[in-house]
Amino acid sequence: MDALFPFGFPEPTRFYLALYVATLVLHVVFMHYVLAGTAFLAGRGLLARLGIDTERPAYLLREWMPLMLSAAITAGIAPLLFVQIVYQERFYTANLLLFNRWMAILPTLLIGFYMLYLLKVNADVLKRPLIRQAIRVLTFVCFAFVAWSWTENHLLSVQSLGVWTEHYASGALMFKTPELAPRLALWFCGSFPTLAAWLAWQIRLTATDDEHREIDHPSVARLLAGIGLVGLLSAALCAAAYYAMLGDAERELMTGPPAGPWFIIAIVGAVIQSAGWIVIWKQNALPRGLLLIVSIALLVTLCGTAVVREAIRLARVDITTLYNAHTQAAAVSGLGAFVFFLVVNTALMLFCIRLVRTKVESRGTRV
Amino acid sequence: MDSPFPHYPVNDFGPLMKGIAIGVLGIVHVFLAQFAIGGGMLMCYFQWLGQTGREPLARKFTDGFFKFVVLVSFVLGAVTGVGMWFATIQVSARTIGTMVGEFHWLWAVEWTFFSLEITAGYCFYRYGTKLPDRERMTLLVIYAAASWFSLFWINGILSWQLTPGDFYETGNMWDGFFNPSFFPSVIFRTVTSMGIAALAACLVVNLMPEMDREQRNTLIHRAAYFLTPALAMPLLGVWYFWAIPADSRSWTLGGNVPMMMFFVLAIVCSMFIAVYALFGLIRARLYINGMTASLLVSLALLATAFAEFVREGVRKPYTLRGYLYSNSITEDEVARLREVGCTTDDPYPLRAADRYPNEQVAKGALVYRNLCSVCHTPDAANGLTHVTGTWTVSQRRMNIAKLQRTKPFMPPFAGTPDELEALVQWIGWINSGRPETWPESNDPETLREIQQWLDEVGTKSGLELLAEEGAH
Repeated sequence: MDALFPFGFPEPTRFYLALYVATLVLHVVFMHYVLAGTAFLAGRGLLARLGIDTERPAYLLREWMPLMLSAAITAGIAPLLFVQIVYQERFYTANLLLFNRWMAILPTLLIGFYMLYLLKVNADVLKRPLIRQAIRVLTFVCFAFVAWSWTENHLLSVQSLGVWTEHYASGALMFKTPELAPRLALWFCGSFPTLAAWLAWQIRLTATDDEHREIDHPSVARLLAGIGLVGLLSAALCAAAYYAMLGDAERELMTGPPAGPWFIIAIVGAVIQSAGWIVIWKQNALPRGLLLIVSIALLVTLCGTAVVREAIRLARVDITTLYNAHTQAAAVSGLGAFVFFLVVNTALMLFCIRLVRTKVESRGTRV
Repeated sequence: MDSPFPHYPVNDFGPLMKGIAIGVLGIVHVFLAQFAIGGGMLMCYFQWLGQTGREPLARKFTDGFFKFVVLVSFVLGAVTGVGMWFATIQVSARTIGTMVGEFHWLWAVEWTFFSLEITAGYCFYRYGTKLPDRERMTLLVIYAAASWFSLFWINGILSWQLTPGDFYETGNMWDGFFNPSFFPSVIFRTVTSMGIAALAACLVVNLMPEMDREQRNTLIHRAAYFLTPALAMPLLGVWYFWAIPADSRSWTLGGNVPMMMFFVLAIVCSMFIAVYALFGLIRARLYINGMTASLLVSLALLATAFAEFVREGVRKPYTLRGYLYSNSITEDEVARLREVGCTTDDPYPLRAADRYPNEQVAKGALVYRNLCSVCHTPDAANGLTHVTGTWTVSQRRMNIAKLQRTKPFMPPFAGTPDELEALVQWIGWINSGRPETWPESNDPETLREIQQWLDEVGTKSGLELLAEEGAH
């Protein structure tokens, strides 16, 4: 594996790895919104005590969160599909070893989902501050639990057979490893810059003219810049802590030819994002061009990070044993149908959005 | 599909058989998914009624009903859909792995339709009330088509499990997808979806505020027309039954008593709904209140539950007919496992091994874990104690050795005589209330006899034996 990721693998493996990483990034874009958004809502009270106005972002989060969770779950289906092709037995074994504790993500997701709708309800009983806050915290706890479960599942999936059999024999509910905390913290902190970018675009694109007049744009811009910068800085610290914990094999792969350039790209993206948010902080505004640069840099960081994440896994998994299975999977027909329907259905999705935007806006309302 | 036999860690579901766990989740998911599919069509119908001036209340109903669809189907349906994947892994990782390997592009196609369904659905949910009729209809048609196509794609994959058609001969994925039960199954499910949506509409109408009884009655009878295609269900059922293998058919006609009972119950529940819909709702134009509507929806849920149980059950002894048995062993692997044993290479140790009185019984527990635990418990749901309780020890040995002949919906025993004897001793120990001591059984003559029975019956499935004997 001396070539740049994913080129150092045989054709079928390269193809499925690339698809997996690409669809994972798509999922992450929505998942970050949900994770960081629910954390923001839960911690909103603290920001209010600091005199920070969080009304508009909070309103947007309450309004959009159910859709974003649906999108996160739906976008998550594709990487869930491709991870089964790429890693097969490892993914299944981790699921089985965590058993009840893993399956608990289903009721947790359901509770979290309905809590998001409760946040939108205006019933009197739900307006009581204590109950409101309890719902916000519970919602965040639900999604934090799902994030923790996925991280634990992933870390268990890359262990050796010896660790698996030991875990099975012990009947333990959880898989404990020192890697869990920094890795989960990295995911969590890294979700805030994505949230900041999402919210900035939503404020720009969804507010009506009247709403724009009411929004305190300078304070919103500073708040989002703060969220982005704190997220980037804390994610960098977590990444450093996690890096220090990794072995030589993982470091070699993530800084060497396969993933090194991606690692650099991720860092460059983070630096550009930071610079962008600093300018936004200073300008007290969310200019379109700058947001575009920040958003592209964010995507670059997410792509780079996703590849580095994969490199760490590949350092622990002997993927050569799976080449044959990838070749068999690649021989299956249906790719043409997928590409065809991907194009058609993406066009239809864009058509739906455009239809709503043009028709609703023509009636004087912003989407 | 020639991978070496993979050993996965096997979990103990306690008193529940694994099928029940996945079944409950599956039934809820199927019911909700079908509700969403039929719901999409129903809303198109009501939108048409509204925009053509045929029904002034239609627009109000559509907006109210869609909120219900979003809250129930988008949330519960989406999560249980992902849950089905995880639950299937818990029951048979190898089954889902094989299906993903063969059909991943179709699953990916289905994903594009899910995405479209969510996009069109949320566009309507958020902005439907602000849109003119034409655009509302456009969004609803896209939503309904996307949700129906998700049924179309998953139906091909699921029906392939029972009727693989020419797939194993040609190796062509499309031969597997458009298999013999594809069309009867997809049409049957479409009609079912319409019926479920109509019944749910009756319930939702009763929950809608600011409507008087007459208005509700009007909407209920409009929705009831969506139940009329259900009249074709007996014919569609016959078509489906004609398409599935004869042995699968025979399980529901008495070959397997629980299967037959569930089959009859599914028909009875569906008939109650159909008769009430035809004579009560459509002919007599009776009003139904929320409680009656709830009862009808519950009956539909029960009918779905029984029908899904039958659909899953008639695949026995396979999860993937002609290839993979329900205990995740392929037809080809049985012969090899009879030589080397099913426990020999299993890296996962027996939990709480010290509770067993001797090594032989502990080995029997391992054999049970690898070969039986996917469908049976020791002494609870579908417990081996209950199944084999009346058999003598000698009967147990022969019946298990010739398992596919004892009950043709069971897979052949895939282990050595030594392992079979260990299983027999483990069952005996369980049946005796798990005493602290238990004698080991090491009689070479017994093992020789078991080997003879295994050789006599061979490694073919019971269905193949039946087919061969039928041919003779």
